[in-house]
Amino acid sequence: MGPLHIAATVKTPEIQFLDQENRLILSGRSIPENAVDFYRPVLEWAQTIGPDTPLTVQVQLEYFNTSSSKCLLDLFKRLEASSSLEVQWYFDADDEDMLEAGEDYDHIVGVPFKFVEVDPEA
Amino acid sequence: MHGARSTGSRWSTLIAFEGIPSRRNVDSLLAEVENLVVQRTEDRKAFRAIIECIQNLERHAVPNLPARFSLSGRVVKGEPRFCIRSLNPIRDAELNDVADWIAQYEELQEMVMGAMEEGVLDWRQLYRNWLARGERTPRGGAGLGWVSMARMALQPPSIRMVESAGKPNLFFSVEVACGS
Repeated sequence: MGPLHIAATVKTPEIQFLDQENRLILSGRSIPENAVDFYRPVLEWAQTIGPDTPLTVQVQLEYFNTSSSKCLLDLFKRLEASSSLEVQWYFDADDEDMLEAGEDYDHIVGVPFKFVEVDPEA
Repeated sequence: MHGARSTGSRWSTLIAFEGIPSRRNVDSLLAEVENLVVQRTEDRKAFRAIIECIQNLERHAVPNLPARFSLSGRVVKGEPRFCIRSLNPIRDAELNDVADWIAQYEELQEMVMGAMEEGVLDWRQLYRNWLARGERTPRGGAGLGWVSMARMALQPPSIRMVESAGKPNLFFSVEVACGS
């Protein structure tokens, strides 16, 4: 699996793969008009992950639009075959919608989710 | 556009936009709305619904004709409520599709309401079902915007075709409450 780093913009998240930790981090906001184009390189990168590669996907998004929601689902589904995958879903305390969004994915895909509550004031 | 967060119990207009739904105008509108609406973590709920509404204007409205968006606010039991409305001309080639889609939406609303009464389905479950379907609209949308808004709104969005300036327009309205 190769390197991956996409810088954040006002409407798209920073996406980076930390290869020493085998950790894929998505952070910021994901509200592009056409999420398919934005997530294409990420999905292509995910295709290169071997099924035995341990991987943690850290999702730390403040907002994502419904166009992005399907791309996130596509990402989780592509990684679903990995035998050692965990999604760490971060959400700010008082942001129930983001917690529920993570629970929705947890319900749909066969990947273990860990929910991490963050104090936005901290 | 103008705005100041309402502090009373009556609706007051916070932002009113009328213009071409270009990328630049939409981005500018989103930035202004966010500054106005999101003052606490809980307020993100309203902004999430607004993102879907405003991006739908760019995605589906006639590109060279003005569209309208308005945001009203009021305070109920100490918590803000927002009324989000939009009106945009419908592309000629999509009139039949939009009419079919509204008819489907109305049928689905009735079905969901009936299923909710029986306790076998709710908006969240419907959202999950639609998300899992993996289909997309022709312009890259997820086709999930209205379900996601119905889920977070006080009532399902009101969506209908109306005549404005002699042309068929799509009218959209939804009310979102933030906080507990």
